[in-house]
Amino acid sequence: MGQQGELTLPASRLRARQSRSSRARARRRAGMKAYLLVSPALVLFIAFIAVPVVGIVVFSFLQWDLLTPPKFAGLANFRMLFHDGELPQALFNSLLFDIMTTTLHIVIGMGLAIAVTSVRSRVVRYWARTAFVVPFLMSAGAVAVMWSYILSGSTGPFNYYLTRLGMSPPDWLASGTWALPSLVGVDVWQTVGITFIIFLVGLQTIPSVLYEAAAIDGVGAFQRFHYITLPMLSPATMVASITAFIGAFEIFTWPYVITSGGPGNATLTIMVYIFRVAFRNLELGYGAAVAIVNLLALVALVLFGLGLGRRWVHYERV
Amino acid sequence: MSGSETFPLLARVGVSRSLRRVRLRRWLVSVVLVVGGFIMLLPELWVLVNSFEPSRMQFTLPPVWFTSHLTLASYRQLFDLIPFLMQLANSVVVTVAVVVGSSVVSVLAAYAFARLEFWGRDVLFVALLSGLMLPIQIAAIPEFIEVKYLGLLNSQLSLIFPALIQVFGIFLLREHFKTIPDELEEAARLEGAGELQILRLVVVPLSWPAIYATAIITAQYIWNDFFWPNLYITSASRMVAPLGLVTLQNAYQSGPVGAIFAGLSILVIPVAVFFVFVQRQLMEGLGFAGISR
Repeated sequence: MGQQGELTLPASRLRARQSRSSRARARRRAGMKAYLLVSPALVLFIAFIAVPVVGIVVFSFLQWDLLTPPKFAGLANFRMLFHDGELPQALFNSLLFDIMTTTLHIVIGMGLAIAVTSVRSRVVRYWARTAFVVPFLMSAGAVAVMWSYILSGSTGPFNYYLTRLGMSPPDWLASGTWALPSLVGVDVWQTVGITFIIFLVGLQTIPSVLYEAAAIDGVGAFQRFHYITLPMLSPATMVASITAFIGAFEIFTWPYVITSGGPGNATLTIMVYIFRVAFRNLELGYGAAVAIVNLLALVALVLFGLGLGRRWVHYERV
Repeated sequence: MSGSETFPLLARVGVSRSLRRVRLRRWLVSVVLVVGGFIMLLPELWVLVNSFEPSRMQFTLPPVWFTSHLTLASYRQLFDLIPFLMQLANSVVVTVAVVVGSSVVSVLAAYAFARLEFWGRDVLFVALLSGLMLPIQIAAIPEFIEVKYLGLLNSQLSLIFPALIQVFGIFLLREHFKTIPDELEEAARLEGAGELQILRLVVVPLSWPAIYATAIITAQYIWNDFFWPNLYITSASRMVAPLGLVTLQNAYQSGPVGAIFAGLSILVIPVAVFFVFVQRQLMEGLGFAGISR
């Protein structure tokens, strides 16, 4: 957020300026101390983020089953990628899940935030904030277990009430068509609260002058949404969608706990597939190669999304 | 400020008919929100009610919502089947350790990044930021091997050490530390305070809200996480509570329903209580996370 002008000064001028001011001299003396302060974070970052990420590349050239010492495998793992029938399905499922859940998050999250903002009663606001955010605070493992009971076809309460309402619902988790959308539902139930809050805070930054001016001009509710709320919220929307999108592409807990990737491979997502390849089939090298595909796919999708975003995100400080 | 939908000017102009329409709409929206919120909480309510019912009423159709036959049998069954109290304690210990540890790591680093000048600072910070967008599960395979060779497998330490680096926290705190006026720092420096003293006596006391916000986001993330415990922990007595319940469900064909419901209820209650206390900070943290990113 702004005020970073000094960082762009050439190093020589920066040094010259520093020696002039006493504060800067004190800061320069702090040089060694600064490294000490940063070092815990740096060591941890190298150990648990940088090394593992580089490790994927190294591992992808190995053949390793954890039981015998690793062997160099050349490009064998990458050649295997092209003959893997499950990989495209896993990528497709992840993408499908991701698109569905991100869209629903944005639509429901924004709708809720606008609704809550428009209400005057503090009690209703507090209730909505609590009710929609509490699921987000529940542990994902617990949520998965809970929904596996609620959604179970013949014995679960969800289908019982749908039937009572005159519908004939499918056996959600056992249906090749409905299993993935069911997991989307669980995902939205648990995490729509965070999207809601992001939009709620975003809405509070819109100056009320804009709405007052619109009201005086007799602008309708839909137009207010289209010409004021939506453009003013677009930066928050961008942030919320990119965050939701990255998280959802790596979705693991729902398909792993609720459906184990099934029925068939209907809910096999890329992360479940990597887990299966590496830790059940004990093909660590090939798992790493799949992880590289995963990373590249994600980067491509995010860049594509950012490209789309540049067209319509509206940055304006009022 | 919550004033984006108040129309003081409108009221003064006196457009009373459209005001009545606005009021009606607000009232309808309120009803929808109240009912919608209730529906959101129904699954938890169902589990809670079921956990106190005798087993013949649990998980039956039609669901039994009200009964006078309340029993703690399910809770007894849960504690007989798995060391659930131990697992809860593990969850708490891991969460607290990570929150405290990562807060210290983040505060120290954020202070250096925000207020000190040192060679390579910006390069380092950009490198750290790259970790912000990367879903680290992708690197689970090398990370597993690393944890295995560190001898941490099947130990709570495997859940603590890798989580001590919360890039997000460093980023959020750095943004906040940059807003503290230089004059305060200089005054402290003139009094002869060192970096750690400035941090402890000037920066941290002015930054508690931001520190709380990061701590709460971290706590939520660690408490919520299933991926890493599932990868690292295999013995029941060392599991965190949610993993314990998932394992219990898998151990039996459809799981001892009552015991699992009891466990789920125990997990929901601290969360609900916690939420009442931290709602404001949580909202600020999440909102700030959204906006500044």
